[in-house]
Amino acid sequence: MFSIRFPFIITLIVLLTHGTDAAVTRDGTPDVSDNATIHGYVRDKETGETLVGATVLLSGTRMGTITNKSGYYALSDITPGKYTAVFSFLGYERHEVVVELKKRESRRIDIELASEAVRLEEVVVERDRFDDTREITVSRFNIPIRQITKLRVGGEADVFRSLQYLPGVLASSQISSGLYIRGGSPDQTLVLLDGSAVYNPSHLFGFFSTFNPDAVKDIDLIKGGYPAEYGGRLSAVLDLVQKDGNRNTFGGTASLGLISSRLSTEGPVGNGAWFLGFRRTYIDLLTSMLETDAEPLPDYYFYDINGKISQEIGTSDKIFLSGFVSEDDLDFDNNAGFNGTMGIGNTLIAGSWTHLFGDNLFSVFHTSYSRYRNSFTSQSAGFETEARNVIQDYTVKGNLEWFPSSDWTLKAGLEVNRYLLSYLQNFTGDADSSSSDAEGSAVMNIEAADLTTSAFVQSNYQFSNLLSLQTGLRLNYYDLRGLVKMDPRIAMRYQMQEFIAVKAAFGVYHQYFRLASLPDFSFFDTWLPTDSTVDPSRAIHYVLGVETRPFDGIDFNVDLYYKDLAHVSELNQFQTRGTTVRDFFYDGTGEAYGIELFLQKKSGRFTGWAGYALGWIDVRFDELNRGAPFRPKWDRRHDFKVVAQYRLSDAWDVSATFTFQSGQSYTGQTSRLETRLPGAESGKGLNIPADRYGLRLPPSHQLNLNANYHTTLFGMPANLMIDLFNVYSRRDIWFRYYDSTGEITTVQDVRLLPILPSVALEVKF
Amino acid sequence: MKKTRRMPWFRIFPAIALVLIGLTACEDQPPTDYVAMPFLEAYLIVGEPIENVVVAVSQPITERFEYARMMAAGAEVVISGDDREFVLQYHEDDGVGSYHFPDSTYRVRPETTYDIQVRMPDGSVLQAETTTPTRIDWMVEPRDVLQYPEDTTQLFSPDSLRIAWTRGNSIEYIIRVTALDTLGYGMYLSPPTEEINSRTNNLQFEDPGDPQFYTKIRWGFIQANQAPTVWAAFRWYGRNEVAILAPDKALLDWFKATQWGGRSVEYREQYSNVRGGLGVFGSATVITKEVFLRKRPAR
Repeated sequence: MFSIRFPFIITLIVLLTHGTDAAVTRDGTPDVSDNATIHGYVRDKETGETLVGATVLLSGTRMGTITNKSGYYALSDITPGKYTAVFSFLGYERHEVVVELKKRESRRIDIELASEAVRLEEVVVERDRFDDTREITVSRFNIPIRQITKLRVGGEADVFRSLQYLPGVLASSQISSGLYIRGGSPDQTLVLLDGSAVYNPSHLFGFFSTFNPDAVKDIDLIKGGYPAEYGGRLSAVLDLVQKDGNRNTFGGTASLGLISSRLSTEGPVGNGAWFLGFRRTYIDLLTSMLETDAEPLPDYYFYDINGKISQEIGTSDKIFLSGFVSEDDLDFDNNAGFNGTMGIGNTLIAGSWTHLFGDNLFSVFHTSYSRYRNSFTSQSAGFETEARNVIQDYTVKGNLEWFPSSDWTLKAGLEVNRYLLSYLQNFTGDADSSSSDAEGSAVMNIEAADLTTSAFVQSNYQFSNLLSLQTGLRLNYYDLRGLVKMDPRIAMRYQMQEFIAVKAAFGVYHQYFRLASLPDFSFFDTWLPTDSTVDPSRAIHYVLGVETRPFDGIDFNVDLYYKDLAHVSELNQFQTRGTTVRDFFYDGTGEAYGIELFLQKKSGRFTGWAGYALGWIDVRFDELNRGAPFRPKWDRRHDFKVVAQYRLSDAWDVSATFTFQSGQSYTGQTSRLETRLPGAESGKGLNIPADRYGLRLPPSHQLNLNANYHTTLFGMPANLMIDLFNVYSRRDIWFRYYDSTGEITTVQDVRLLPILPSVALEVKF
Repeated sequence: MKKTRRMPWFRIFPAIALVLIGLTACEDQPPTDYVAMPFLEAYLIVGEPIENVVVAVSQPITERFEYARMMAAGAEVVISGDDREFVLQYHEDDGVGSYHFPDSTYRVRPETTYDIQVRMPDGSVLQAETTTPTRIDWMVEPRDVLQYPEDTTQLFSPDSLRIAWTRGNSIEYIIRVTALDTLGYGMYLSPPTEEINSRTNNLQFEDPGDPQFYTKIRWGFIQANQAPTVWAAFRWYGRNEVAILAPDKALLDWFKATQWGGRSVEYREQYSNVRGGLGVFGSATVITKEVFLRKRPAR
């Protein structure tokens, strides 16, 4: 109990302390009512898109702030006088505004920043230095979408694959886009799109993520120790914001690639903008040309659609309506009596309303419907099988963000989720019996409805130029279990020297849902809730970070982390009957710890980063590995990554990515047997395993090259993208198994993709 | 712009990282150490004698595998249940050893708990128990003669070919279809012909590279006490035996763990009910029916 109570008490103390301190001005004058405020939105000059994370500072003071997810900022408690307000954002020209603030004045300053091809070093340094003093959250990465579109794999830019180039963010294999962050499995990362949870963000059995990079404008990844405004997952947060659309002119982008093509359009409407993006593969068209009656090939395709429309109503209100649909479909017919279909899809509809209560109280009210479903059916001469999983999430939430001074931001929110989950598994041979739920029925038909309520309060306070503190508390109520879970969070930042800062974070995290999934590929990912037979998963994070700037424009950060895990899950793969969640999962404990080094150059012609992570994860389940701890399959001890991007000229830019990782874990075999079922005249090879995942495959490494040629096509800006995936054709091992079908046992390696060149064309109109 | 002081450790960071990786990211070679594990595979079939109890020791993966060689001949195997004790004896049949209860007049009883104790030659003890299921019986048994579809197997099998059996105390069953004669075909027709037997047209499900291809049995899993006639269940035309096994949990778990997941499978301890070693001690009631599958006529 101590570990829970102590931070809670600290949180209360700090919150109360902040309240007291806010009533006192910097010079000690008790009355702050004469002070002024500036506030407003920061936008892209060309498109009118709001800019998330833009810096606003008053030159010559330490007062400043960063625009929030809506592009809004507020600087309060400014002593009346004349100031130069400086607005800046990565990749945009700096903008200065001279303001003379009178007593009690509230000045609305909306700014549009012009983008620039190559930024000036000086601008970057000033902005980044300021950013550092404000950013309390540890292990946070914000990768510009411009960089992500240049990190392509097989000709396809992908959000998740770009994130996999960060240290401590692992993939289960080259063909997986799943994010394994600091030892956590993909389901332990909260994936938010415009504030709504997305439950299965993958296409093509995990090869790609569902997020079309054309439709995304901001990507925020927090690898651990994340603040109280986020909850519901054990490991990390990935917060994506969709584009609002171009408020000034109609435009779009069309892209023709090796695997898929994309089309996005955007334009102004009323006092706002709209955006519509579409992407689809054509694997099914290719396979239909190749297949014959004798060798039928499966039909497969995926598509996704992103849409958003926004309107400003007056100066204080904005409304957004956004939607996202993704679908994967597989059909197979072997022309001999067997056919099967599989469908996986996400649907997300969200509405948001932002409102300014005065000049320093920003609010967001949000409602959304998120649905993930998968289904698998097969039929052979009338013997039908079916499996289906649906999770529906109806969310209503409201967040208030108060900027009482430039030193203090207080955020609070309430979120209510209504979940409807169902899991159906029917191997009876008769699809008509799917609805059967009679006692003794073999049809597994789990349906659950739950209401969860979460409330949080979070305070960011800058005590001085040197010390900032973030405290928060999140309360979760799970109606199905009647459980209340309290998640205290605390983080601090201390500026030791001009270019060295220390950060630390502690937090308790609970995860309500658990995912049944396979580590090699995303095939039939199934979400199940916490019922009376299991407890919510729990993690406690301890993070210590050191952020330095050894050279102008170059950051070097070190993060140490430790995670204590309880009630983590491992799937019981062969369970075909059951009525409770516990029937399908083993319940275990674990710990993850490690160190990450990250070196980054953000500006100039040459940009990129190098990262190294050294990590351990151990889990323990009574039913597995004879109860002894073991590391999961995706564990990789060493993880070294380099991303380099260079702008050769206005026409050409090139980039290279390199990864070097310890091999995946696999289970060795010590001996073999043969098993024969009753009545069998021959048997099947049975391999006797050594320690579960106790061995390691050869290291994985890969070099990818990308080149972009910027030109015009029929007078329209065009981008020719030339990619070379796996340059030296390193065939990493996907998985290793022992083949004991014959008298001689052999070790078999299934290898991954060789070198793969690709060309894609993108045209903007 | 004031330049910051260079930090000497920054320069060596990449070198340190590379050296660390080079030193410690090396792979583990597949192990060759042999760890002998005791193994028990025993199934009690209701209404049948106690036989075919396999007590064995796992074999090295570096040596040529022989089924007969894994048998442990010197074990003490005792089954208790039905208010008596059964001391099993080792015997060999075509060079392959197994344990059986010599009094073949004893038949395994339904709904009875049996316990097995095995003392291996090295002194280790294996122990497990099973409770035999109730008897099941045909409600709608397979037809004596089935005509393989003449033009397509893509259509649903007609309801008139549906089979059904009493539920017993199971709701999950194993279906076993065994080709009884892979050579003779015409000899069973009326009037007899000299036509020899052949495989059915289900080769899309079969891989000649898999040793299972050359066995006479196909196994299936079903969660109901009725099923349509699935043509893919037959490997061969002609005489076949259709058997329904109503298993206890131990046999069912073992079936899933060993039959699902590839040509050869990894032993999964969580699906074993044997303490002190590896394996299974399960039971089942079995009903069978012989059918004759007529060939698809030549077109």
